[in-house]
Amino acid sequence: MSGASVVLMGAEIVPSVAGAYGVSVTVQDLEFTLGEGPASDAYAEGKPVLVDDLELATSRWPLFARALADTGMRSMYAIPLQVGAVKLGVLVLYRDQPGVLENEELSAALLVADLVTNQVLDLQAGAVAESLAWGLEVDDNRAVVHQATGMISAQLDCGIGEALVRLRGHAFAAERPIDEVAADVVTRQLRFEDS
Amino acid sequence: MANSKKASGPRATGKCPVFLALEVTMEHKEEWLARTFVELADTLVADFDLIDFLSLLLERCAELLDSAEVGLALAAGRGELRVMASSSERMRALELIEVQNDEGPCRDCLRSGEQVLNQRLDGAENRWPRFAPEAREAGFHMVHALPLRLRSDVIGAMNIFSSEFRELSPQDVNLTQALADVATIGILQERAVKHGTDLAAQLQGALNSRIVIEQAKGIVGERRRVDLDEAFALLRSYARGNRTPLSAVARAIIDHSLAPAELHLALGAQRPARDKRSAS
Repeated sequence: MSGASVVLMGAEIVPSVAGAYGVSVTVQDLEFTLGEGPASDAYAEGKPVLVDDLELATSRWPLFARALADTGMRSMYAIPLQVGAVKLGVLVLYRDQPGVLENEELSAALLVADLVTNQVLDLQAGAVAESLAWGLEVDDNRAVVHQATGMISAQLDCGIGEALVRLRGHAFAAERPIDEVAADVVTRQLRFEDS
Repeated sequence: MANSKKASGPRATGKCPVFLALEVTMEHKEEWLARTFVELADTLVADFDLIDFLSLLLERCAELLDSAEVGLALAAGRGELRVMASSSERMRALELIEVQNDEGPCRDCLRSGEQVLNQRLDGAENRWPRFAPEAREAGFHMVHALPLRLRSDVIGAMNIFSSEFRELSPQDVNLTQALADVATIGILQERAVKHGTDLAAQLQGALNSRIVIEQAKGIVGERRRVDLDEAFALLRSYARGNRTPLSAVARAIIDHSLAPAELHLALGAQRPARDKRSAS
């Protein structure tokens, strides 16, 4: 990869490039200025958008593809940062040459996307872990975790994103695995209430 | 959301009496097959919603294999198993698939690409030291797993849990594998898959859709004070009754544009099945 950036997005915020490595912030800003591009599509569709060669993508994003070619970037891979309906933004990887993303590279990118998603959620929860590995457990994705998130959202009458942050924050503070806390919520042994 | 296309068949009226408590005997199998494939084909083209489609397919599969629960899992980005749909929303089958990240019939199926058939759980402790005891404790006696294959790739597995010791007949194996192949087509049908990473991207989208459904189930379960399987039935019933994709209904619940109080079970819709074991 030639570069990477993390873009935070949301219904009520202007997309902001939270970090960029090896590629200038303006490269990603181009997409939002023009109002079209792979990152926006990935965010909207809820799945990775992989562009092997931007020069061939002019029919899909006529303005953006042309503008990005001027920057020397030829391929772009946008991975949404999301947990179901909780959509935080997009991780974008760039290459200065066209090329197919291999399966191992995509797996790695998905792993990094999960890591970034967890980090953003933890920051929102005020849960600064000493180890990056916390919260990267496979059990984070058990159905019970997502069900509990929904229940908490209804209990607190808050958005689904905040509910997930609250669930993770509680698990962190209690030093318990997220799926165990979630199981308690789903079996109605634990209820979230604002005092 | 109105849809001008009027479907033919039982779903148009919301009444499905023929599928309620249906026991599929040998004489009825041809008729059942014909109806099932028409129903699936209808879902494949009109207002296609992947999870609704898979749930329906797995329910029919469970009917075919009396005393069974069936779940479908996909291999996610890091190779871990993620449940996409099941014949019943009861936690048992879902959780039993989720524990199979390291060992189990689904894991064997993914690794080998081969069917895993007629495995008794008593005596499977060496093969599956964690999974076998847990599945037995849940009341199951036999398991099977069928691969979801695309050319040389195995993208997931269909896991069948049986509370009886009856082996599958060769006919049942063929029919069930055919349903698994139809499931694979459904998963990939949104657009042509060019190469491996397009498939992986497609699967990520499908997996994320499942999470949205689980989140919506939680909201409905809490607001309506119902079990999560009834919450799913409410979501699905509303989706079918309003000719709207299930995923859209789930998103509307989550973003508050649809209130849980507005959901209701359509006339003739199936309530979540009672535990078959206790009924026999």
